[in-house]
Amino acid sequence: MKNKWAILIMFFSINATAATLTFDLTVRKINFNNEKKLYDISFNEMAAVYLADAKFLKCLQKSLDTKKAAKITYLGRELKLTECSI
Amino acid sequence: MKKINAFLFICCYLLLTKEVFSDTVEIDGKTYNCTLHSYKRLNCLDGKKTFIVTGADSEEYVAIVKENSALQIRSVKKVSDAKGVLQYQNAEEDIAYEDSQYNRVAAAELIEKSFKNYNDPLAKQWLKEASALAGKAKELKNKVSIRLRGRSDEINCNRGETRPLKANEIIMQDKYKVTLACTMYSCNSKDPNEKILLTLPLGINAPIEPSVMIMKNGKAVRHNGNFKVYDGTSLALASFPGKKNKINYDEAEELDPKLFIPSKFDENAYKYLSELAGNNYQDEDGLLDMCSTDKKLAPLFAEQNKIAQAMQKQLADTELIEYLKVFNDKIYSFYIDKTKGNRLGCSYQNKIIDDNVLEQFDRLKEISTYSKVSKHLRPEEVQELFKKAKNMKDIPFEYVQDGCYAKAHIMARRFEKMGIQVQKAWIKGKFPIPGSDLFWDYHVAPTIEVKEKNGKIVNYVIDPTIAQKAITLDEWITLVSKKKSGEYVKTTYPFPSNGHTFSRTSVAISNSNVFGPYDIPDASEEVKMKYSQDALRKISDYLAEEGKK
Repeated sequence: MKNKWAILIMFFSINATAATLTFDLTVRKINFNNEKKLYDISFNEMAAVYLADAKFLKCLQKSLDTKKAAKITYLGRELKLTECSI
Repeated sequence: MKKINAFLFICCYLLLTKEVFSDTVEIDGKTYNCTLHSYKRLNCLDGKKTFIVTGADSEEYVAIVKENSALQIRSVKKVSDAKGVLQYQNAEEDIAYEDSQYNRVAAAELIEKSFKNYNDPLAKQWLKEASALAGKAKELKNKVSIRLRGRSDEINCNRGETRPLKANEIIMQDKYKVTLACTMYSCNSKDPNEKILLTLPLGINAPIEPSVMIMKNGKAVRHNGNFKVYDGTSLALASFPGKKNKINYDEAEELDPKLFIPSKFDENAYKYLSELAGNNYQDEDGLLDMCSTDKKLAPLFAEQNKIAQAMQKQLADTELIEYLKVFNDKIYSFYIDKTKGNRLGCSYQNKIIDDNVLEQFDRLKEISTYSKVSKHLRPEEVQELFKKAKNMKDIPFEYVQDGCYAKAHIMARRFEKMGIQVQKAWIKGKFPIPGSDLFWDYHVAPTIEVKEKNGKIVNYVIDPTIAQKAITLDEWITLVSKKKSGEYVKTTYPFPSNGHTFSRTSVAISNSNVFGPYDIPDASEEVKMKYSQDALRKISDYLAEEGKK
């Protein structure tokens, strides 16, 4: 019985974790997206416009100011940032 | 033995609970010695001033200062511990905090958040004082007045009514502890020709910037700082100093902003014009969403909309010219006002090139031209080529969101190995990604010159990510941008990075060596291939992982 619960918990926890992609990217442009209440982020290396919460702003601005790449993790379909470090 | 164990236990306990280091904090140009009690919690004592430095939500250090018996938030320039600098804010990032009711309440709330379970006499004393203030800023004021820097008049404003909330909004409000309410105010100016709209999201947990929009004689200027808000008491309710930190920028900001302002507009309108391009205009609902249709607010929204539309049209009709300039060893292209551009340099391919581009003229020629095609494919051959491309299993064409640069480069090199002459077709603007509400900043795919049966040479594009067969360049442009011939500008590489600001879509054909929409001078073929292969491998791994779920 305990094993069944463990399997179930594992199954749900795997499903709850959305798949992400990680790239080293240099921020090119930051724009507030009023519609989504998020920031639109353009990277030198990417074609799409990504989305970020205000909590990543400092990290993103640092990349933009220093022209250095930040390690960016994002949800592959939604293109929403989940991590930023520089 | 028992005594030794007890001694070791006490030592370990002391080591674990008394983690105290010597630290320094720099505020308002003065350095203070502090005691770091745990990560991002410092108590600093300075006789007259007492303050606590804490990491806020964004993990920045801010100081809570007690001045004239009032708690206030202050910006911290530098924090160091024994190992080195923990935070250093340069002048541009420095946020100026000014005394206001809202600042005092925010300081109190920060104390509550940081020191709720913190066993320190000073923190406990402040916590007691803070609890009397905390929560007061949550009440949205219905009537306020504003004072703008540089103006002597006080302007009275009334908040619009909040529309009835939908069932899911009520759930969201409770679940996330946010307040969904109208944050727009209509203001009464003494000047009958002037209309003023205030956005004041105080106490609202949403990233909406406070601003004052002043509309007069068909022009609009938005102030995101340099104003104070009052609620009838002498201490300002909130103060919004002029911002030092930039949020909205790109390489174009390195140029004189006047170059981008069409001759028809004055300098003050530029910021508003950029904001229009940054979708604030298109998204009027985003701001107004929570306000019911109000007799006072509605005409202001209509006026804003009217001005925005007129300005957008004027902007789209403006005569522009491409201006090439080198920044950080890269050649960039920008649209600028044509009349202002003519005196900036000499002309090449109908573009104005700056003197610093002349120094790299060979490089410009290399990236902006491509060799003449000597052997053209037939229409049926290009369709066969498309099928071959689509069957390249290591290229994840089913991932639409991004990676076109890598897909294009690898396809181009493989086609060249087949003896086919290839170029790349680029399109720059803001295009919806098929099947989502997201956007591409640009898109690229390999293009091949095809000799049709009537002898006409036509460019075909191989883009299995969005098309089911090889399509002509014009069809591809329409598929990506929904624009037809005449609605976009054909240019050469490098193409303008700010076309969106002027509602322009640019299309360029480059040689197959060009890798990104912006010039990358030092990237070797090896680097480009490795980057492309790595990107596609990551995307393929992602899709495989997604498939498992």
